[in-house]
Amino acid sequence: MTSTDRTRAERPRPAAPGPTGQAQGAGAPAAGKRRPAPAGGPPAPPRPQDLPDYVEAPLGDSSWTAFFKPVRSSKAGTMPAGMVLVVVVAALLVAMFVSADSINRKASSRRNNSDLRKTTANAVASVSEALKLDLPAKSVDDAVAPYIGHERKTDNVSSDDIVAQRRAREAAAGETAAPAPASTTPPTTGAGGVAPASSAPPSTAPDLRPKLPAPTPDKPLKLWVGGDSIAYEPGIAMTNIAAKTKLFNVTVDSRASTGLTRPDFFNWPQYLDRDIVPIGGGAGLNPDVMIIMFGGNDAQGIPMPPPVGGYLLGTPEWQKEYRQRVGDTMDLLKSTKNDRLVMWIGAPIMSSKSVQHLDQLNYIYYTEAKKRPWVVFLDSWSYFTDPAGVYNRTLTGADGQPHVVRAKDDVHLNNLGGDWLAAEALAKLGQSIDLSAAPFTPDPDKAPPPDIVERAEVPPGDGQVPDA
Amino acid sequence: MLFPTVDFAVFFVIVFTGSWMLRPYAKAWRWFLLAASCVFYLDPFNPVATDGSRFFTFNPVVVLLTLGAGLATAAVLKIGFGTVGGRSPADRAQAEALAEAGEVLSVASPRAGASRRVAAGPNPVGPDDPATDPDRLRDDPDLEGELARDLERDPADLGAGDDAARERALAPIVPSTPAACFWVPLVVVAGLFAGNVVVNNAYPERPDQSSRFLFLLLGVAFANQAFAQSVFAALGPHRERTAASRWLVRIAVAFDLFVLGYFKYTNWFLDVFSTIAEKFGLALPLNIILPIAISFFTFQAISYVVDVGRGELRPIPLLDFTVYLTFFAHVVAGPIVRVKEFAPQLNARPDPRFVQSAEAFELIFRGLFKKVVISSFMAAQIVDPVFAAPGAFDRTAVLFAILGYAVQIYADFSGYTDIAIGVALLLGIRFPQNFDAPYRSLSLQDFWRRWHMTLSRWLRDYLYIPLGGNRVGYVRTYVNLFLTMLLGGLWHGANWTFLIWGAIHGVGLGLERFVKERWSGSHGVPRVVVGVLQWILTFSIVCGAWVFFRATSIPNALEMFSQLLHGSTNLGGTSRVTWVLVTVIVLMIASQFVPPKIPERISIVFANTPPILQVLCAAAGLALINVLGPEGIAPFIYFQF
Repeated sequence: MTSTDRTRAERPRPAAPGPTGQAQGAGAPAAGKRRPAPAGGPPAPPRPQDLPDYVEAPLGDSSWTAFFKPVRSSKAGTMPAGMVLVVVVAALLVAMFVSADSINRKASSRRNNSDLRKTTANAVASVSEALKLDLPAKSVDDAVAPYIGHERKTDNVSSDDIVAQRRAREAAAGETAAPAPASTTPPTTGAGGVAPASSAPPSTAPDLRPKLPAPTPDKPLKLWVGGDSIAYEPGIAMTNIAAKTKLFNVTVDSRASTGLTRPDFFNWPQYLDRDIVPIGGGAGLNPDVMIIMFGGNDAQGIPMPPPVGGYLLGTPEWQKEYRQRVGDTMDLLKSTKNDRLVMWIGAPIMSSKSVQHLDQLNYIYYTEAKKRPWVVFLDSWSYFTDPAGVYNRTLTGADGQPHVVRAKDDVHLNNLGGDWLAAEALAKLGQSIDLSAAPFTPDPDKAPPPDIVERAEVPPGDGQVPDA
Repeated sequence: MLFPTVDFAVFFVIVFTGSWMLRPYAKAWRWFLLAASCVFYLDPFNPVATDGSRFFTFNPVVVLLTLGAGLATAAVLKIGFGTVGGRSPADRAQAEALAEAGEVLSVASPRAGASRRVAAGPNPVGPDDPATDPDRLRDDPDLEGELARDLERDPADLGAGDDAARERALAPIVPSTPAACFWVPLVVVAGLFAGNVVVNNAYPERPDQSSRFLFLLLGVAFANQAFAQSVFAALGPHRERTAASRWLVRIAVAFDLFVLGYFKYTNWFLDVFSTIAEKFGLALPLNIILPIAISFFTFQAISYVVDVGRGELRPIPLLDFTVYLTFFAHVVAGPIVRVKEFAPQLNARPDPRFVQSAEAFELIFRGLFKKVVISSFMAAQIVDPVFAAPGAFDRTAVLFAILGYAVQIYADFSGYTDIAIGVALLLGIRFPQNFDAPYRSLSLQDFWRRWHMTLSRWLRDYLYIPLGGNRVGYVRTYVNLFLTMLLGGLWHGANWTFLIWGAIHGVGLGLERFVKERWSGSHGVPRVVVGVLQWILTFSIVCGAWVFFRATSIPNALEMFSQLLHGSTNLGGTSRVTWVLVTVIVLMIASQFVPPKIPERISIVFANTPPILQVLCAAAGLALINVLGPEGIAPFIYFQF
């Protein structure tokens, strides 16, 4: 600010009690009693008699060069308000461009985030990427991520590409080639896609179900529970159960705000293929049993590359694309040695206002699971509906008492809901794996009433294209 | 609104600019701060995870309560003082006489206030205060002595001869017309209510209904102002307590505790007694949402009325009090500031040429790093998984989860208040220090002088001393100590775990006092050894108590201990104890022993560098925090306390 500007900015203060003074500087008017200049400050510039006797302008030196000179305030550790403002705003702007990628990801992951926010974050990220401003932050992130528990970032690639590449790598690694395409696999009986162990499999079809050894406390199986944030509570419940039975070593891998519709935010198929079940069993966990849950975040439009642009939730195109992604995810979880069991849990009923077309999602999971012998489908719907078949936060447990089983957002389960679902999941796993080494009976309050069973068939949802 | 968000960055830039521009205009500036604080509390631009429902919650009880509080305020102002907006001639004559006698109350005299309770003075940024000692806001460490002295103090030593203070003391309590005093609270309530409707309609997806609690906050402010005014009127001619003033203070405290109790403890109470209630056919459970920051603002309101009742404080104008209670920097999670520290700073006019940027930047950066990076890392890496399923982890993992939680809660809470203090400092308002390297304490008593210092001081002055402190006999002293800590525990949350946490500290403090009374001294053992042993014992007790603080239930806490003592050593889960985790824990604990002069010097060096370098350093720091922090900000531990 020049001295001319300052003179122009001078104006009488409105009537106020106490000594009068004059505001100085548009950005930060001065105030206070008239008093001598602080000792040790720079010499006062010439001024008209009626100016307050300030010697340091709110922006410091009255020249932009002050920005590049060491701060020389007569009070240690202080700066003029105007300069503080410049420093704060400039630092925030620089930081925004340097971290634009991360800010953009956070903006897109928030549910119900406004378009204005998303567009702004996206625009800033584009500029930052074009100017390569995000490189330093990205390289630091890549360098430290393994040490501080941050997962490696995923790319926005399509799930069918991932499956195709996986097949190619399988062939190159000399592992047994995948069996015939999933859709041609003869369906098995039973609502869950796998016939109960007690009942005889259809005599005409070969038993393609995975063969897993019976776990014992000495030789537990590796159990992975993952998916979106709803998978967290059942995952923790499963961990608690396993701490008692010692039949599983549990890893919980729930990631908030994720799903299959938005690989631009987090690409589950790529993550699973690369970090959880890599070819050759290298660095990944390679679990024996996988429990996976999606749905809560997937009731949204699917963005597609141009010229398509995207599919609206619930449309036939949307259903087709989503079905493809679900099928691909199931396919890449199949072990070449057929020694991995996947349990896909359908999304629990949610408050009608929360998530739309949940019934479509569940129908897709159910029908796709039926086509794949290594996938067991657990329909969680009936365990979390009240006797009238609708959503209720409070339900009667196996002990006959009412219990709150849902979180306050009417989307997630609470701890007890997690216990309920884990109890059912374990019971269903017991149909495919011999868990007799340490039988588990849940406490009466930690399970739904025994007379509640899965639906025999998951019906198509409203506006659903039935599976061919 | 939370500090480590983009929303807050934008909000703060606007508030910083507006605040310094309006600072010369006393009223406009206060209204601006009040409006900013309301926006901060409502957080109307934050589209949170929702249930998608369109709602407008018209809660007649809350609205009536607020309107009633506004009316009561207005009525007390109007009726209680005869003429509102200025004093009656009799009042004025009395005030003049008191001022002549040198009896100027502390709030009317920032300098006098500065010289007493708050060692560094509440007005450090003001040009009038030569004895600026920014970081030294610690109270007198003597736990009981100070208030006792305060109660016995000679009023004549406060502000005698301070012309400005006398002038302010003689100024009208409410500088406005009678009509304004009656209508302003009503108009404010009505206006905000209309604003609330607009906000609710504009953001139908908001599920947490926190907007309606702005009325609660303002209602508490208005009601307590009314109480304070009436209490003040009921005091004797020399500010001595009367039966009427005592009763009014009791009613005010009961009102605040009722508000706090209803929102915070009803669910728990009903849950505890649910089996009994069910026998009587009562419908349960009640679903009461805990308003953000209710524990903090009710406690601050109580301190105001009690201080007025003790004759230590003159009621401040309603606008000032509302600004104080809602001030965005401390409303969510403290520090618990007192009126006598805050109000004088509203009257002071800090010099815009000397914003204490070095210290503020250091506090904000340090706070962000602790809050976003350290705390979140601890939570995600070990604390959350282990506390969720202790049985699945071996004893090493459990041990590090306990240590990790000690680090997490310190980083989280002290980080947040560091940011709060830094933010307020940039606006020219200094808050008291809230943490002073608590994990270097050699005793529990020392710990409580260093941990959440503003709460400790509140508990001491408004709970321990009124209970009798250490002046009512040997046994009662121990009982008082225990009760204070027990209730302090309950303040943190409605759960048995918090009660046990408080009880552990209460018993620990009692035992410590007992032992020190009998066996003080080192008895020939080298002082260093005694010191190390004391540190280990204190730190272990504190960490052990944190297990109850963090655990979701008592069985959960017991399972942690059982796993720690009897757990397997090869259960797995040790992979979570990485060298990075161990290093961070060790460094965080070691940081407690770093003398404060070192960061001070660094910040002064930083302050003298050219602004362009400061920009680059600050931006690099923010970017680093963003990279090292989690994808989403973890919820703040103290957010709902």
